[in-house]
Parts: sequence; C-alpha cells; structure tokens
Amino acid sequence: MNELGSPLDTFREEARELLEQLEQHLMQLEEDPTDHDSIDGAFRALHTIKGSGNMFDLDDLVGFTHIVEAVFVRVRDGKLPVSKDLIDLSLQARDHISSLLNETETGAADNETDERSQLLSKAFEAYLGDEAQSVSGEVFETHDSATANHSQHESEGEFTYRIEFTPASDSFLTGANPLLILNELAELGSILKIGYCEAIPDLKEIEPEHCYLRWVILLTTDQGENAVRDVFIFVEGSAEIKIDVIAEADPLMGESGYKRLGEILVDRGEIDPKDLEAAVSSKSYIGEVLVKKGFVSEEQINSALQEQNYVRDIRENRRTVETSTTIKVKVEKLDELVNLVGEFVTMHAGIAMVAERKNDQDFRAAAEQMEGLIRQVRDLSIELHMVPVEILFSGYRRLVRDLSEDLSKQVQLKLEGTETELDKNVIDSLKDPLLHIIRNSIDHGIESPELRKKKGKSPTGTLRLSAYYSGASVVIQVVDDGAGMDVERIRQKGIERGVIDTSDRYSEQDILQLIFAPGFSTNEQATSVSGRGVGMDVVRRNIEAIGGSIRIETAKDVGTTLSIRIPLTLAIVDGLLSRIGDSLYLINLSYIVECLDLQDVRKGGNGGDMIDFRGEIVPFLDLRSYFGVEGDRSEHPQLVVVAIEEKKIGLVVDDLLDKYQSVIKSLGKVYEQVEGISGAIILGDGKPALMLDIDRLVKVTRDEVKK
Amino acid sequence: MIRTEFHATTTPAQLDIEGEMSFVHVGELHEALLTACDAADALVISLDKVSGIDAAGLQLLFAVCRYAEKNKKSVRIEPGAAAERLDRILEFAGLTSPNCLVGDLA
Amino acid sequence: MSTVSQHDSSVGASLGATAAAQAEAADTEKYLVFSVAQEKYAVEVVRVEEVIEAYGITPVPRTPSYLLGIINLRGRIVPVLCVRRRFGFEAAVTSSDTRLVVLQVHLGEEMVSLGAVLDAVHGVVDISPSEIEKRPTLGNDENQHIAVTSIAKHENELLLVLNADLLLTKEYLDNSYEHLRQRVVG
Repeated sequence: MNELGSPLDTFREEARELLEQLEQHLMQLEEDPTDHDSIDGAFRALHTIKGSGNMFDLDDLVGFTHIVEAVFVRVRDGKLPVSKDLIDLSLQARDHISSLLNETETGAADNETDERSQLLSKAFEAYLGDEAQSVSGEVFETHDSATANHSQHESEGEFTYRIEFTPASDSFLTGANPLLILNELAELGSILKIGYCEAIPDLKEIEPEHCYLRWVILLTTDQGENAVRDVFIFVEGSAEIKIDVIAEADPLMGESGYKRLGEILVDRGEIDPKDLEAAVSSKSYIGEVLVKKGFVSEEQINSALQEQNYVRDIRENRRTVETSTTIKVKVEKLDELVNLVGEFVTMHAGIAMVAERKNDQDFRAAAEQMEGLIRQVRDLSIELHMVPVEILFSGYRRLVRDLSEDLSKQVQLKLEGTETELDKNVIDSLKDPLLHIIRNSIDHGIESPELRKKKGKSPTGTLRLSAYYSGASVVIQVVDDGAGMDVERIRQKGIERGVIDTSDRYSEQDILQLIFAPGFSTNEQATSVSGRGVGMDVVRRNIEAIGGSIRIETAKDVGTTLSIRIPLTLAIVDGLLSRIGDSLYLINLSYIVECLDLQDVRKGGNGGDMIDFRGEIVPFLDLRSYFGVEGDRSEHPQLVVVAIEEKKIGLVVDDLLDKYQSVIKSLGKVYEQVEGISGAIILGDGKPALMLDIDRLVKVTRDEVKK
Repeated sequence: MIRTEFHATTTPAQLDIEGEMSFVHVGELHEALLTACDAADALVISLDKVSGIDAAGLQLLFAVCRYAEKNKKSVRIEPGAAAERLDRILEFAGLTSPNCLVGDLA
Repeated sequence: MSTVSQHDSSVGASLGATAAAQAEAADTEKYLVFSVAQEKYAVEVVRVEEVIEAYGITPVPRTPSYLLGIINLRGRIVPVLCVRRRFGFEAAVTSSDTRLVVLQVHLGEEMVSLGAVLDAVHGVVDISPSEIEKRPTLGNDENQHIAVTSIAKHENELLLVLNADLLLTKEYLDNSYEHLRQRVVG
C-alpha cells in the first residue's frame, strides 16, 4: 500500500467522497425538491470535482461534470425546478462521473463511456435551453472566490470586538484624522464600520472644523484587546472609546445567529429596556415599532441590523473555515493510535503495581496522576475513532430507492438516531450485513402496493433504520411494516431439514434464528434480488465476528424488526477479572447481570446444571470442567450471571478479582478455532490473560440444556 | 485649493465646487455653501470637478442636506465625475450617502 | 557461538541480518542449532525472530495438546507450541536449558510468529549447501520427520534440518481441532 499517495490519488479519494455527498444531496432533493442546502451542496460537490479535476487535466471528467454543474447553477438560481426526471438523470450522471473517475485510474478510456458521456450530456443540455452554447465554451474558473476570502480568517482565537469610537470634536485640528484610525483598525482583521452622522448640525450651525462623526466598529481579529487599544493610543485622552468583546471564537456559542435586534439596542444604550418591552408586546416588526414610537432613529435600527448581519456572517465564515481546517487522517493511523494507547494503559497498570509494591508515596502519586492523563488520552483516541452511523445509514438511500423501483414497490426510508456514534471498524463491518437485511426486507418483507391496499395498509411501505445507545452497546434496528415472517412455515422447514424436532420446546426466537442457518430460506421463489435466503448466515457470522448479536421480532402483516446489538468499541473493553485454576479470564462487564456466591443459589436444591436466579431457572456452565482445568476447586466458587439478548446463563469460576480495562488483542490464526475464548489481554505484570467469548458460551450452554 | 462658482440666475441655481473638499478648505467651502443655500430655494451642487473629499468635507454635505430639509429647500447634490471618489469615502467611513445626493454612485 | 539472551529483541534481528549478509559472501547459510529429545536440529537463522526463556506462557484451554498457549512478546500475542509434543514425544520438565524460539512461519496465506519450546539451543553454525542432503523418504514417517526435509552433515555431526513452515501447517491444525471436537462430542 502506498502510504503517501500521489496528488491524483488524493483527488480521486476526495472526488469519491464528493460523489457520495452528491448522492446524499440528490436523495434529499427527491424528498424535498426545494431544499436549498441540498441544491447548494449538490452544486458545490460538482463544482469542486470539476475544479480539482481541471488541475489534473482530466478533460473528459471535467467536461462532463461541467455540463451537469451548469444545470445545477440554473437550479440554484431558481431558473429550473427540481423534478423527478432531473434527479434520475443526475443520479445516472453521478454514477457516470464515478466510472470516469475509475477510468483515470485504470487508464482505459473506452468508446462505451464516451458514448455514455455524450448521451448524458445531451440530456443535461436539454435542461440548459439557450444557455447550452455558452456553457460548453465557457472557461472554467478554478477558484471559488467565496472560500478564498474566508481562508484569510484564522479560526483559532478569533474575537469580534464592538468598538464605539467618538472622536473629540477638535480631532480634525489636532491632526488625529479618525479615518486613519479606521484604516489602522481595518488592518487588524475583518471590519465593519458603521458611521453615525446624526450629530452633524445643519449648515447654519455647523462648525466646519469640528468633527461630528462617530462610529461603531465591529472588528473580528485574532489580535488581543491590547492590540486594538493601541490603535487609539494618540486619541485616547480626547476621544470616547468603548471596546467590548461581542463574539468569541466559540463554536458552542449560539448557532442560531446573533443577538436579537432589541438586545443590541439595549446593549448599546440606545434604548431603555422598558421601552423595548413595550415595543415587543405590540407584535409588529420590532424595528418599525421602535422607530414609530420615537425610541430610536431609523439610523440606529439600521446600524443594529447591520451588526446583527455582520456577526452572523462572521459566524458563517468561521464555520466554513472550521470545516476546512479539519485534517484527514488515514484510518490505519488511527487504528495504530488506539492500539498504542491500549499498550499505554497496560503498561501503566504495570507501573501502578510496582508503585503499590514499593510503597513509595511519591511514586504512587505520580502513577495516579499518570492514570488520569492516560484516561484522557484514551478517551480522546477512542473518540477519534468514532463516526456517526449517518455515514452508514444514508448510504442505503440509493439502494432502497433503486430496489423498490426494480421490484415495483413503494418504500419510504426513515433514518433515526443517525448521530449515534460507533467505532469506524464496526461501521465498516456492518455495511454488508445491513445491506443484506435491507434487501431482504424490501424483497420479502414489504408487499406490493396492491397487496398492501388489500390488507388495508398504506400502499407505501416504511423501512426504518434506527440506532440508539444501550449501555456499552449500540443497537441498530431495521424495521419494516411488511408481511412479517411466517414462524410456522420456518418451523416446518426446520423439521423437514432435521434442524429441529417436532417437540414444542423451541421458542419463537429459537425458530426465527433458524433463518440464519446456512442455506435456509422460506421463500420458495428465489428472486434476482435476494436470491434464496441469501447471505443471512453470512450476516450473522459477520455480526458475531465483531462481538455483536442479532435478534428478530416479527408479527404477521405488522412487520419485522431486526435488532443488531454491537459493542461501542472493539478496541478497549471494561471487564471483570476472574480466576479459574491458575489462569485469569476477563469477562466483558456489559454482559454481566450479577455475581453471586454459587452456594447461595444452589441451596434451592435444583441440582443438575440449573440454578434458580430470582425465580428464573437459569442453566449454568462450570468453566473448570468446560476448560478441562485440573487441580483443587475453590472453596467458594462464584457464579457470574451473564445475559445476551435476555438469554441468561451462569458461569462458575473459582474467584472474582478486580475490574479491569484493557485492549483486546486477537489470538491469531493458530487459535482461531478455539471455543469460548474471543481474545487476549495483557495484564499489568505483562502476562497474557484470556477473554471469555460470552456469546459463544451462552449458546453452548443453552444448546446443551436442550439436548 | 478650492474654488466655487455660484450661478444664481439659473433655475435651479447651481454651485460648482472645484478642488479639494478637505479640512484645510472647509472654512471657505462652508461660507460658499451657506451663501448659495441662502440665495436660492432650489439649488444644485455639482461636485463634478472635486478632486478630493475628506471627512470634514463630507460632514459639510450632510449639513447641507440637513439644512435643506429643515428649511424646506430643494437641494440636490450631483456627484458627476466625483461619484466614485464620494462613494469610496462614504464606504470607508461607513456612512450612507446624504439624502439629497442624486444619481448613481459608482 | 553466540548464546541466548533473555527477552532481548535485538538478538534475533541482528542474527538474521548478519547471517544473510555473510551467507551471500561465503555461499553458506547460517543455522540455529537446537536439540529436542536427544536429537540435534538446525533451522535457518533468517526464520528466527528471537530466542527467549520459556516462561510467562498462558495456556489456552480446549486446544490441541501440543499448543502450550500464548506469550506476550512486547505487546504482541504470540502462540507457543511444544516441539516435543508436536513431534510425538513426551513433554519434558522445563530445565534451565529450555528455550523458546520465536519463528516466522507461513500458516495458510499468512506469515505468523510462532513460539517453539525446545530442550536447548546450542548456537549458530555456518552450513554450506554441499553439506546438506535431501532426506531419504521413509515408508511411514514418524511425527518429527514431517517437518524435517533434509539432513546436514556438519563437523562430523548429523543435524536434522527443520523446515519451519512444516512445523505447523493449516491442514495439521485443522485436523487437530477436528479431532478435538469429535472427542468432546464423543
């Protein structure tokens, strides 16, 4: 792998991301054709691809994108409405740009793509009307003037000052030209000057040598207040100067724009708060009312409005600047960081142990301080590795759209909890499983509009993707309001195949889980879309591989809900250390329901492999015998009750030790097939310990009980 | 240098200002403006030949407008060739143009 | 002859590097000589990552008996195999001579680190290709001979040349687990 990559590689990578964004904007526009943000977004994506492509002389790509962009300029300017056809065409164009982009990599330009370029270009030109000619011949501008301006701002440590500057009346005479002062201020940053001339008397009364002007200046600068004050150093004695900070470069400070008009006027002392209250109560436009009532002059209102707009603009700019100051980091580097931080955590545990043993006060204090610091670094590095599921979810919009069209179904996709964050690796591993599930939902779950009408449902089916936090896990649900699964039919099939017997000891959930068995499908007629029960076994395997579990709930004609529960992060786990024989094992805390003394629960006399846990009969597994550990049993074996998706089992261990937080390491290829162990951790003394595979142990124990 | 030429006989009367409308000359300019405003009910002030304006000069234009409003006189300031210059100084000072200014600024 | 250092990362790496350089010059190859159950073996030094004391091994349950467990090699989890057991001998009591040699081996498509616990390490020798003979194929190979593909006659001593990749193959591993599963079920 080429770590650095050529500029062209970088361009391709960015262009692909932009195409992804373009698709999202188009999907959004399909839902709301008037959404300005999406129109702007689509235009910007196209514009950027074109602009950057131009730098690499990618003529085909640039030429084609240009025509599409031109159409979006018309859309943006309100000259062209967003239609379904335009969206369809734009999606095709997006795919085509993607293939053109791939061609730049393979270097294989073929006639077919050329033809497609021409075909699509023609279709887009039709939207351009008279402009078509001029567009094709236009010279491309490479610089986006708007962003060029913004880049001058430093986003860090920027302040906006409101400076009220009333020069002394003799300032013309003393040579302290106020305009020069304004000029100096302008050099410090971005500036808005509002001059007030209301003090100028009429021609009869004016003393022409006197200065009657005053200013309110809004200055956004990365300079401190002292630098601003220095500008006034020669007039300080005579002029009236008031400097206030009105906005800090704090992104948390009110996103919804700046202060209200009335507040600005009160701040400036131009209106009494009481008058403002009176004006507000009269329900007209506040500015209008204030002027009418003579509380303030129109000039004052205008100036306050300007201030409002100025601060708003500066904020907007800042947001633009901030997004552009994010840096891209390769995921591998983040992975490495998380791993190293994990090592750090482990190493610290060792140091803390030594400190404890040496019983050195200073050493211990230092180790404790270090722990606090490490925790912060750890949290931060995990945070860096988290991304919102929106990235995952919104990627399916296109799939849902195309699929429902192919199958002549009407499906509405709803996304919920898109801000929920998950480890990037988890997101990646979920991509394919979710794809399969969504496919199945649309193919087998949601009925045709006719059938839905017959059932008294809305002809449009709803597919809901939602995510939410649940303890140390995130639950992702795929919910459809379709036909639901036929549990009885799955049961019959299971019996036919000899997977289950005819007894009634299987719960509905047990039977539903059968669909994850390899090659198990209830749909007699395989379709081109989902095939014959395609991939559900793969789905489960993939989800289990990242420590997740999957659960189905279904009701006939009401719909099906698939819930996938996955750990928040794969890298670091909070666990409980337990001892079995001479070895220590880590149990993931998020699965632990309760820890009990085995003797206490066994008293009930249930015997066998079952215990009575709060009135519930729960099977348990003696890990000593399961792991074949020799030697003497502990006098007080402990029972750890764990649960996965409400399925509880008890695990018998010799002893329970401390809570322990650690990076989970893979056992590698040699131990890939081992049962009941999902990884290793490194203890404070440097010795490895094993991590219990709770999911597997629950399954094994409950299967055993059934036999 | 500042020079003013007042044409009292035309309707409306016209005051041509030539040269620097700067602090150094505001005294002279003030006198000229006052004379012209007093002499006519309808007055056009042409800045066509003005070669510079500063804050003090600008103040006088505002004062003229204020005076006209107060005394119900019709005064029009025609920036002519000085339009761009006038616009620049207004913008620089963060001021909106005086009410009686006519014509498009650059 | 160089001796073994304890958990020292530099040993293996430098051994490998110098060995490769010298081998090219003299047309000989450097081999690490060790013994298992009274027999002397040689393995190419380029495959040796390091030689350490055999301690700190955490056993992994429900695995074939020749797999001893895992060690922490500076933050890396490395699987450890007992060469005696793998070759079909009784496991020996750990002595002061017992060593753990970390080898680079191919397993399936991957290159993995594999710790091999053996009775003693004797040092590094230069062996020229002329000293090595293909081992005559025997009718029914003993376990240890699976991984021994040739024999070197070096300074009046017979050394069994170990092919590190054959110490643990994917097929052998899969078979062992399969056996294990059947035994558990039965």
